[in-house]
Amino acid sequence: MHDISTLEAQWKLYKSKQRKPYYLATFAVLVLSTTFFLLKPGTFSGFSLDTYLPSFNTLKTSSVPNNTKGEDSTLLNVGLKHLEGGIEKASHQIELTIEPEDTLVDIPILDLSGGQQSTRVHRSKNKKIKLEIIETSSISAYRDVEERFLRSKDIDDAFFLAKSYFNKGDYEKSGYWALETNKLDTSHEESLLIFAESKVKLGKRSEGISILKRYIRKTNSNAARDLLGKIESNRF
Amino acid sequence: MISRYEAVKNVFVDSIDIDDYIELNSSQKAFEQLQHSMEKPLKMILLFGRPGTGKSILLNRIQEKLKDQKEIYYFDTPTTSEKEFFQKLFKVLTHKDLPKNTEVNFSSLIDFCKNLRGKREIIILLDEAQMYGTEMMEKIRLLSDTRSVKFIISLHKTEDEDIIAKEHFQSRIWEVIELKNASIEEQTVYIHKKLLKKNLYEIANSIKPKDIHLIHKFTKGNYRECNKLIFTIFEICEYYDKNEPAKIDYLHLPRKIIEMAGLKLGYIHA
Repeated sequence: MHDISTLEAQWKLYKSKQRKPYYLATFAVLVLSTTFFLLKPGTFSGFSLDTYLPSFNTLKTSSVPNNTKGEDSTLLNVGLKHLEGGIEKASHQIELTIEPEDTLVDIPILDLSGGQQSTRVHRSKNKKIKLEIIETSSISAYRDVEERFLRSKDIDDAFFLAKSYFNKGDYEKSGYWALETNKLDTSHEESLLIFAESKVKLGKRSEGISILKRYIRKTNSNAARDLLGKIESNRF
Repeated sequence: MISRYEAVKNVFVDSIDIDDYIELNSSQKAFEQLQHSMEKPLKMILLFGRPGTGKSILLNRIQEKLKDQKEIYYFDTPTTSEKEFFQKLFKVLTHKDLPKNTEVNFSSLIDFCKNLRGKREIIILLDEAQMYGTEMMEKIRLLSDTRSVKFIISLHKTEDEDIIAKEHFQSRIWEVIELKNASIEEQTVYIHKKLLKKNLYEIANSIKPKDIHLIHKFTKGNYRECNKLIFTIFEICEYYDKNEPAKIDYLHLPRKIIEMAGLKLGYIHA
């Protein structure tokens, strides 16, 4: 047996050839797994809107019965006729860009301080978002968001509208959108508070108080209690 | 330094030595079938099978077993010339050597054989019969027709030899016995029995079922190929034992060595 080293070299070559398909298969599986992982919806959930707007979903509330919708809508329409007070026009308004559902969806972020700029958030279906500052000048931005909400039923859109209309003093609409928000997420406390506040602003003080009391009984919410205290002491 | 593997590899030196015969169910069955056929008034019996299926060793065993009971002769290496064959046959029939510078007259030989009918029953075991020419085989058939000489013809089973078998024997031979390659179970028994026969218990234990599977995969159960492969395996083991003992596991036969032997013998290719 003088050719043992040759034989060993041949054996190594044979083994490497024999293992080649397994290596290739493993590599292919890794590539496919990585691709699948990267393309999987929700992979980038860490960048979701919630990251930037934690207050939107950290609040715990109880539900507002859905059967109040018809009644409230009627009331809103009636109230609209008697709406008083001017609309505080923002020198810069929010501009929205409607994009196909499968691509980027804009979520306007409120500029509550009434500053000169508003913020637009681009969010894809897999929650990948980016923020950019844009100049806005058109009031039609709200209509765009409303139209988009009809298609997407996005709770963030509804809540944005509720808050925006409330800040603008359009309590009829803020009440309506607060209710829409609450229908999508019955534990959404802020929407319920805006709904109650809108009722009070529209002169339906007792109705607002009644909503808050029911809510406090269910959740013992401090925010709701504070608001109720303010309304009852006429400090609202 | 003498390696423990030296004796082991020699167990698998390919031979038709009757001492190396391993009793297996299939070989025992073939033996009994052949013995039974020889008792019948048949003129020719064909022992058929691929090379390395144990035909030669079976003929040897038959001769060894029956030599005291019957007039039985084993023609191992086929003669290249007709003259040489008939000289050999002459000696078997007459118990005399053919005088120098003489040749056997085939017609006289036939007559001689006819005269032997009923007096003697001669059995000739003709190994590697595929090497005889057509004319020669025809003369062998004529001799068998005298009914005093019975031929047991061992023939390789290859595509060409199948044709020979069909052309020359199929219509004349009254019994065909076919030997086949071993199954995994038979090969396991074969390898272990061979080793145990030489008291190599530890080595036998070091060959595990998965090793046998690989050996069977390489050799397809052929006994001759199996002997060759295992001889080479232990030849490699012997080398490592003498030169690089760290590379060898005495309790388990390394797969690497089986594969190296497979590469050396061309069962697999790098």
